Amino acid sequence: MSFNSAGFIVFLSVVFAVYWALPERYRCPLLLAASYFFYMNWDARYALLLLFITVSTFLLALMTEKSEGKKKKAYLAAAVLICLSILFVFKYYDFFIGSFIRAAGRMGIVLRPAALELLLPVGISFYTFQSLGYVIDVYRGGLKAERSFIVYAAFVSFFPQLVAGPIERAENLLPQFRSEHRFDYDRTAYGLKLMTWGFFKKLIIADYVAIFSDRVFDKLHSYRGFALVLAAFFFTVQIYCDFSAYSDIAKGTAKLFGFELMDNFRSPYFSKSISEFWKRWHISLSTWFRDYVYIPLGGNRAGKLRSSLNLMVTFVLSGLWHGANWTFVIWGAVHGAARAAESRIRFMKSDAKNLLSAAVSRVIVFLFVMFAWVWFRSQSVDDALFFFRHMFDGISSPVWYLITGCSRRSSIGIGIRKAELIRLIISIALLSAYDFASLKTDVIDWIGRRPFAVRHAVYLLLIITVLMFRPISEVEFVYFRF
Amino acid sequence: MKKLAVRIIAYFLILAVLDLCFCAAVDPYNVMHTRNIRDNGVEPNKNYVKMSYILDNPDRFDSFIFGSSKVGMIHVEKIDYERCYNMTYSMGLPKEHLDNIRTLISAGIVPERIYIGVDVLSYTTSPDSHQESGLRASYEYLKSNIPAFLKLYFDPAMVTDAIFSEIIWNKPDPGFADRFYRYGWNEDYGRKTFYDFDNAEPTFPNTEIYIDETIDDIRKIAGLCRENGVELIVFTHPMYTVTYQAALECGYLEFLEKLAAVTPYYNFSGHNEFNDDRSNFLDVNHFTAEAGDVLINCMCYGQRYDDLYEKGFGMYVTEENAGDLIRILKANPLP
Repeated sequence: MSFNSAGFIVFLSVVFAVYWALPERYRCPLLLAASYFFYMNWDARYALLLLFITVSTFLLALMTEKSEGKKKKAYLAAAVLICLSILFVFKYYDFFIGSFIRAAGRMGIVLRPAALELLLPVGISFYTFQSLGYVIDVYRGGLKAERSFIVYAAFVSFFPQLVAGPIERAENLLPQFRSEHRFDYDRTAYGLKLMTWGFFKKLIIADYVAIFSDRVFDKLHSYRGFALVLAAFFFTVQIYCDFSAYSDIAKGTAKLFGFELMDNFRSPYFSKSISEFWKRWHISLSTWFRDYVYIPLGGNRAGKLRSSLNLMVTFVLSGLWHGANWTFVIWGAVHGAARAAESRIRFMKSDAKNLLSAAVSRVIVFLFVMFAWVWFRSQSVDDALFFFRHMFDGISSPVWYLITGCSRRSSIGIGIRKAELIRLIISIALLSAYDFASLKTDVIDWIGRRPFAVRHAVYLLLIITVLMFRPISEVEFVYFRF
Repeated sequence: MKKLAVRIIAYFLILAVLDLCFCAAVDPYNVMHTRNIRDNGVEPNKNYVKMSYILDNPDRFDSFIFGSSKVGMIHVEKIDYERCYNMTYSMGLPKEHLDNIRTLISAGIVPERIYIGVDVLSYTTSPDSHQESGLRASYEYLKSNIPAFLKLYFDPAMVTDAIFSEIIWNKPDPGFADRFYRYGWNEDYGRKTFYDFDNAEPTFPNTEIYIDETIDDIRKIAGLCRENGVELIVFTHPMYTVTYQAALECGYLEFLEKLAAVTPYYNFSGHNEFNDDRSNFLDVNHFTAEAGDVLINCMCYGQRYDDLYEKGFGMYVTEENAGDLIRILKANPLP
């Protein structure tokens, strides 16, 4: 049951109505039951995996809290081992074993393939990291271990953010399951508006630009020149709209039940540096890696070289978190290298004060991020290399380079019709305006302060646009694969 | 909570009214324009529109041809001794024909003659799969299932998609409605195609086989016709070589054999000069209107094409001589 399915709207309406009709003490169990129902819609068997991780981390956190010294460390190690082993078996085993067999083959050693070919459980990377973060926080003493299994299980499986984040911190979300929730019209209305904006980004922008980016990336070797650059641009828009839409819908859904989830995106494509980009992109994951990997490695306190190395390790692991493929590792490494270089080289720092230099910095960062996404989206390292080798084919005639890249008549063109181009320009312009304004103000709140007729006309227009122009068939969220 | 409920209901009502007006006005599949069908570039739900039209005009025709888009090539006006209407629609199936005939008879429309065209498509498609399609959902299904009707035809995204993919590019054919209501066929004579026969593949879905279910539906149609004194004429379509080849791999001979056990039929399939000749086909699935005339000549005027008849083309197959047809078809294998 995906957020963009009719089933979810029915499910959400029912859970919402029952939730507020029930006395407070039954609401947490209701959310737990609803979350497992939601998860079991994908594959009921994997609910056992979710339950296993929940039980293990719940018990180990309690034991960690009660223990001291080596025992305490041992319990933490057990939690880390359980979470990462499960993640490894389901997500990385085939990748590592395949890479090992290929490497052995290059040295003349023939090994038989032993891939498990397991179906990747939806959201596994998210809920294992959320559980692991909780146990580490308890180990560090910054958080008391949760005594109620129901509360803890609801925290791990909370359906708005279960399958694609944000990866919540226990200190933020856990207490909310304990506190009393009163229905608040303004918060609920805000949640609905945020969800509507999320649906707009997903259904009107992400799913639409995906048609063009998929067309090229799925048959990369058939394309040359500007069509490749355009595909990279479309994917840049797609991944942001798709993922931030999920976060907006998750945040909005949580608000309907009186919960506040953390921000996961803050206009990342308006960043003036790579470090700023990572403060604005997938914030819940980047702060997770900062707090549980980068800082424990020594952060930036252990000398320049070590600090750069720490950055590289953190970013490579973050890349690997996204998927079991060398392309993700390289994507992480590219960002890690840029981030490390940026912290050393003065002119790359985000101190652009005047408008022009700020704009130039934003364009440079956007282009860097856009071309880095090529690694992320390509199906193999060879594909990505092909992209970079051929992205400027035909550039000697710049006008033709641009025309053939877009054209439907050219066999290497991405094939955009004029009407489609207009639609894309309008929707991306709207998104840019929203994000730019979001740098300084809460746009939803700002619209909410307009006169009654104006604001409701805006809401209706947005809903009608979503209903009329959404794709006829359901398109899965990109981050479900991770 | 009350304020929220009021606002949600208000939004819902406004959106519902706008949706109803928008979808009913555009109506890409013409299901709400059965009396004044428009050529908007989108193929209408012909089963729904034609059934509504026939029920509105019970005395206009005395015989009907049922079948998939392939029978849409048969010019019914060539049959000069009856007022025949071509009920062709996309991927028409015997189960749906059975439902249509039942509906007509229960509405007092008892035709003198019913023709039904069948082939491999008839038993490799589940009628249930048509329920999700605005183009193919049957008249009876839509009449008995209002939520399905609303879901299929009041989805604004479907309507918008139809507008931008077809309707705004369409140049309406002024004779479309007249032809539709007068005859019901799809294709006129002399249509030129630039179809690439060399690289074409058959397009029928052959993952699932429903021979027994289909034969049972045809048996019921035969019984219904017998009970009501309706003459039933079943025939198999001419099939282009690659489609026939694929049909053989999907139990086509078994289907023919079982078909003969429930009703006699005219056979026009098999490997022969007619079905090898690309000029008789618009593509690997559809024969031409000219080829449709050959079928009428055989079935309605008793004409026999001797060279082709030897290979089973135009043969009237009964339970008794079904074995002969199978032997003939096996004796004329594909190259």
